Amino acid sequence: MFTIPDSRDIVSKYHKRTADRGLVQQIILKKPIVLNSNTITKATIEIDHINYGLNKKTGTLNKKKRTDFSINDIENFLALLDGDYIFPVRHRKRISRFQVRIDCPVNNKFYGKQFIMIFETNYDKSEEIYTITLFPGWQL
Amino acid sequence: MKKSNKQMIEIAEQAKKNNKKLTHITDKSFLSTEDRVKLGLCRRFVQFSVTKKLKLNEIAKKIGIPFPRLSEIVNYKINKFTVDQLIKNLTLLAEYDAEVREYLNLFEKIAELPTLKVNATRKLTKNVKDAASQYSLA
Repeated sequence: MFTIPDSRDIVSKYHKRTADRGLVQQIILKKPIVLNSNTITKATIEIDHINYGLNKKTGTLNKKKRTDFSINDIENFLALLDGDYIFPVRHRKRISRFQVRIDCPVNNKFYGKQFIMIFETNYDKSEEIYTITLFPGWQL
Repeated sequence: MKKSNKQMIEIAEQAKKNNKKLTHITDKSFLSTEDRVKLGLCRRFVQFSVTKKLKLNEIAKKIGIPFPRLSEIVNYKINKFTVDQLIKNLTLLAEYDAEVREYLNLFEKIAELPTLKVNATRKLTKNVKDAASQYSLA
């Protein structure tokens, strides 16, 4: 069920048993990105959540994969944010949440198709981005 | 950032509902010059809001732009605006922010430049880019 981690700079990897969203990986980005004037070097990615999605009725991860993205693929998505200024949809306490439509930059995997990416940044950890999820936007 | 699965589903559902309103991130190398200029102008509004930590309704009230229009600007709905409309709106914002004012000043000076030789223009472009990246890192 769980995705096999990539062989790359993974700072930590763990199963979040409490929320049960499978594998969550924290990586150091190969190339830092600048978002809203902040240089981001680390990303925490819920890779199983991205690939399987959550079942609306049961609240658990689906059994069937909806996408087959690797950590590197998600990093390619994040690279598209480089140099941009994005307006947060929500800002609460120190956390800003962003929701964007993003064109898939991954060759041979839905290239050019539109996805919806939701991510958060923390004011106190401006070098880090937390990718909540990424799901196909063209089916909506 | 610890969220339950239920909260995650709610967040995703909300994003699905607002799908068309969301900012569209795409490879900018395919965009036309006009669209890039528009994006650059819209970006100043987002930058202003993010750096000053102001909410959209506060900015809308301050500069007298209807909230829905401002929302479209900060979400880069560039097809809904022309360059001159954006400059007009940015001029309103410039009254409250020195950085935006100076940006518009620079924009104006560049527009006033005579057509130079290709090499000279390239050199100038490079210098402007280098200076901009230096200042943004400082």
